[in-house]
Amino acid sequence: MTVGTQMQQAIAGVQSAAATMKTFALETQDQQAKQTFQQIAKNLDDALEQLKGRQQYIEQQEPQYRQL
Amino acid sequence: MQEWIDIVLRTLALFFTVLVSARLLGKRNIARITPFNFMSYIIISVIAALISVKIITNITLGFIALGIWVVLPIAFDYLALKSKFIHDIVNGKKTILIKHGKVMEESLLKLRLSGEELLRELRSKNAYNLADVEFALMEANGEINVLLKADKKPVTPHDLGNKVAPATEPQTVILDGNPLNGPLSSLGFNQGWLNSKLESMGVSIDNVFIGQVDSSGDLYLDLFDDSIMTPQPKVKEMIYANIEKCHADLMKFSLETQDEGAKAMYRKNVDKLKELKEKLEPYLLR
Repeated sequence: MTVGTQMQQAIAGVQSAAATMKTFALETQDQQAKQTFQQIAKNLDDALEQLKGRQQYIEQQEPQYRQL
Repeated sequence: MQEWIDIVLRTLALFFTVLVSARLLGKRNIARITPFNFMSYIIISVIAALISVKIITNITLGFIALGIWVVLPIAFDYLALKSKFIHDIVNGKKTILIKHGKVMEESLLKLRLSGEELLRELRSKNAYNLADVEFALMEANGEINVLLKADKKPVTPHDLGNKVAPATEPQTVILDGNPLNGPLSSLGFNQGWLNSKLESMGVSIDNVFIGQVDSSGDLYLDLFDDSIMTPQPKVKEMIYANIEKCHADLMKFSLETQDEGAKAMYRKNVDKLKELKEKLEPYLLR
């Protein structure tokens, strides 16, 4: 498994977790829990942006990672 | 005939005449009528009052005068619709006060409008800075309207290059604890839908003061008992979050599977879902 694929896997995992947090935040009635979930979702979204930036960098450096 | 009976009969007759003529004269906003319209309204009311308290003793003559003052403005309104010339005579013309950011002093003089008054009117239109105003004019009814310079206008989604979902007017479906059938059916819903929606929110209809449904079908409630927290409608955000989750999951599957055929299939669907997500974003999130 190449570094590029691993990166993509990590991105997909974080994306999935962020989406799950968003659904939790929308579903819960507890205001405090809602806020916590929203905070986590935001953190994950930030992490996602950073990971995507890193992936672009890798693709630039090693174009062979682009294809799966 | 006794005097007071005469007054009562006259007043009753005029009450209904004035009611009908006010309807005939239309429902233009009283604060935005032209000076001439304003005067004709006053004359009609004064004539009616004079007949009513018997200062004009001959009731026939009084009604003739009243009739002319009611019919003539209506007639001129119709003529004004047909001819621009008559329209300008009846309603007056607009006057340009500021053009290309420069104040037209001659127009101000003609309107007997001082600089201070002009600035006050501009301020009431939220233009505190004369430098921000590109164009301003006084309408025939005395209202001043302002066009701001292009770079000082409020930002719209169009300026930002954002696509937004079309939104139509919301419909009020519950008022004072009673469901309103007309608005409900105009949205294509019925009472069964409303009941199931209320049940899922855990609210009885007697407790609802106002319930509105927006164009996307979300129900917003204001309750009599403000201590109860109702879940706010989040249907669209929920759908978007779910699509996002499916997208991420498919991506994960496509990376994890060893089967080349399955990988290609997952890949294809990831792309499809991504396209769908981008298409739906303006409708679900904004």
